Amino acid sequence: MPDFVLIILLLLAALFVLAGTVLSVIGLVGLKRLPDMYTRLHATGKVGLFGVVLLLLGVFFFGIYQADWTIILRAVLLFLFLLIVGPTAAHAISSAAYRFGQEPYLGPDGKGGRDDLARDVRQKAEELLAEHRRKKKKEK
Amino acid sequence: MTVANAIFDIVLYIGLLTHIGLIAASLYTFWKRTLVFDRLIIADLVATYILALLVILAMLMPESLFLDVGLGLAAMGFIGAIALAKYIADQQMF
Repeated sequence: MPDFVLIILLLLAALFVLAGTVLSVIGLVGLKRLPDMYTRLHATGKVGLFGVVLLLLGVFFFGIYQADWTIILRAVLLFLFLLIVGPTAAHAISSAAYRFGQEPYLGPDGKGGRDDLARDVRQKAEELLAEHRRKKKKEK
Repeated sequence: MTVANAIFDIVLYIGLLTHIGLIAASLYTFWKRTLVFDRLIIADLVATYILALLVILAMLMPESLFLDVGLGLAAMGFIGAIALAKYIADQQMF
């Protein structure tokens, strides 16, 4: 490859590494400052997706610069794996917290937001209860 | 050429030191917070930061073996986070 293409590849890799580092710092700031467990999870989920994925884009360009296929293939594999794994783990943690009974933050006066999941859960429970009562009536 | 190489190396060292500092700060937060889900989130976060550290090391050395180690770490962190979340919510693993 010509020289200026190599220089551009290296500078692109450096740019992506810098961007990933900045997003990692933003994740920790969100963890420190946000008021609620769910919002903190939202902030730290960004580190797993954008921080490391931008670093992996840097690795991708670095692999092209080195003309090393082993680095490129592993970077793409880790990239796809992280895209699947990060949101799944965050969803598992937040649904576990909701089932545990963790209250979401609804503003300083407690009226700022709404809890859609509570409404859905209550509706489903009422349907199950009605069905159970119907079955009991039939048995009698 | 050498200028671009120097810039790339400096950026990599900045990223390395920043991530080491972030790991230290998040471990301090782990010590301070008492809510169990906060600690779960921070454990997941520290695993992600160590993965980022490995990715930066793979560019610094340069050695693609670090990316393999990172893949294993990401898989183990994912399984650990899901197992711990289920254990805390349901009081049983399986």
